[in-house]
Amino acid sequence: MKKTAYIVAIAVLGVGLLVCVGLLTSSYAQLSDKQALLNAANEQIEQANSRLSETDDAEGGNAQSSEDSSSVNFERLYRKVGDDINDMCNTMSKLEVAASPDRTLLLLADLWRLSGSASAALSELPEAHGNVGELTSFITRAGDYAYALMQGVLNDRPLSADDTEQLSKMKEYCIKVSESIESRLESGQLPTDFLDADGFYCETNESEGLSDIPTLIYDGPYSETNELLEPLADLGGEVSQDEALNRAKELFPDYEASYESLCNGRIPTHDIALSGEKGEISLSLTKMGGLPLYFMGSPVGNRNDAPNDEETKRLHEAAQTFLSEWGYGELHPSYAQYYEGSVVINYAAVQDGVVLYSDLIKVYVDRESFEVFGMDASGYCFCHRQRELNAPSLSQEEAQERLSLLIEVESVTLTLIPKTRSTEVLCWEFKGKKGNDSYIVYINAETGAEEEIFLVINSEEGDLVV
Amino acid sequence: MTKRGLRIRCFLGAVVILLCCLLPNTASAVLKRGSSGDEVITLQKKLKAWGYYTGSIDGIYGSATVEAVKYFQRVNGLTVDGVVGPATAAALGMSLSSSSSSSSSSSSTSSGDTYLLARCIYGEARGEPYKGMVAVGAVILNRVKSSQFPNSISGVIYQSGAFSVVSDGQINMAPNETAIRAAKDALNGWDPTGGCLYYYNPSKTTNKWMLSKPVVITIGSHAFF
Repeated sequence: MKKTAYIVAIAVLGVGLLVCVGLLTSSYAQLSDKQALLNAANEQIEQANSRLSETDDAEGGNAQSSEDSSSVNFERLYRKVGDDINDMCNTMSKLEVAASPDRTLLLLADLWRLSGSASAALSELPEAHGNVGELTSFITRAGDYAYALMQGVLNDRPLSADDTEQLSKMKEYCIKVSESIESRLESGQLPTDFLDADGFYCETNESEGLSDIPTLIYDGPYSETNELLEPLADLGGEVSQDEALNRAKELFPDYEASYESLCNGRIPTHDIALSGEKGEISLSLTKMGGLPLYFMGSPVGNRNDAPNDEETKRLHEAAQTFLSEWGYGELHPSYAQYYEGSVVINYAAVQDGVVLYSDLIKVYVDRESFEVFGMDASGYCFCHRQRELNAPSLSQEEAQERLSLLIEVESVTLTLIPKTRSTEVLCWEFKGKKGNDSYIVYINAETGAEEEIFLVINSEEGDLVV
Repeated sequence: MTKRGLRIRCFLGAVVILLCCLLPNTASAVLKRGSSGDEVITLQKKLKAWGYYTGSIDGIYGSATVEAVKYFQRVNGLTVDGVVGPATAAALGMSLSSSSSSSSSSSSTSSGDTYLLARCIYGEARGEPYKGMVAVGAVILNRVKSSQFPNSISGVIYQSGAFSVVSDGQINMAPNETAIRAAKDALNGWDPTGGCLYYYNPSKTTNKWMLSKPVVITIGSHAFF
């Protein structure tokens, strides 16, 4: 009995040692392979470094060569922009005669891809903003427009007469730009020096014959209508500086309030500085209506780790109490982030049981003191209004049938999500998991289309949605 | 010692050795002396680029790397322990093991983008009131959303001539925690400028184009429009 026990123990010891040795040698082998590769790479880096330092040391002739290489790079970029825009013109010509939705779709996809490539190259040119800004805007919108048209074709909406007219105007303009770049390349009139701020921000004359950029009318993230969008909510009548100051004192009775300035941004605000025992707070009240657009103090600590369940509950309670004290109606908490001592919880307004995701209020709660030290209601102030909500055409079960079978559904909510900055769509929101990945999928409650798929990334800072 | 006792000790020794074999295979969420691999290479490259590390980039976390990490931690107010844990990794702009990033949507940002934004804010606006630092970040993000400017944070920041901290190298300084927090607040949507795309320092600029534009708001020493 004793003997066998000894033998077993020694056998186990022996196996253990063998396994250890095996692992060590395999990782050592890997290491020495990697070491060899790295040594080779290091040698190359050293050689390149010594070449560079040689050019630094030499005068005159070598400085010239590095200037040449950057001007060569800029010439390449100009040619790329010219080529891409030229290809866009050709694609648009083909679109004029594409008879099937399939071919139309593929050509629109090409147009979208070329616009992305051209605008990326444009962003690297050493051109003054005045010269390149409008052109970048046009190229970006052209691609954006192509993407919107693609979505139309996929939903059985072929190109309309207005669309073909816009495309032909786009083509005319692209031909002009392409010819202008070509002639500048040939005559060598290209800026080849890296710009400084004075070069970038300067008065420019009307670029030769490149004015009259056509306005593209469509609905997309970069469209002109969406970039210049006015607030959709009716905030109320104009509020004077004094009224704003009084309102600030009502909201923060423990602080001294002093008026700072008027901000004429997208939503004009009265900016007020508050100071008290607990610190300083910046507050902005909307000029129309005197509503709090945001206020921000600073958190006490700077913890970065995730709050535990009990802390999370307390943080939510603190935020909810604050929101009801300030008179906001029913709100639905969605995701939260935590960083640098603060926890940011996102709340969306609710109407008739439908969560309105555009009407967002972010509440910043201090990790240490569980007090609310900041709030951002810009989404809410911009968008909140009574919506006309129809009952969904698809029931929850019918919508769930449109969902990928791979997702294990954990919760379902009826929501109104923004499709572009000016349109919204009623959707069934399904939150679920596939393996270790968490997803949020929005199924259109009228058509059953998959409007959006979001991946939830559990990062160190909370659940980020991409 | 009894023979039985000796038996038990042998057995325990064997178990311990077996367990030790299993340990190297678990993924770690920190980098420390003895670590090796791609993440160590990334770490060494960053530290070398910023002047904290002068050794070779060999992917092995040895004593030179430990010293470099300690140097970095000392300069940046982190706990000086020579180990790259979550706080140090965040300051370096690295994410360790677990989280992956990237979708192709133009609105997603990686932790690298956050750190780049923080560096630009630090270069352009350190010493400004906190609201002014967030405002600089907001201008950058407004440009990303605008059709007139490049469509990514790095594209906007590195656009030729757009930010002086890029051309004079100040963007390579390690940002402090305030700048990192300002970058995160800006990414969360706080825009103290109400949508502005430009800013300048009225007491330092002679640029006629900028001075001719109506100012939307002034925060600290920057006028925004």
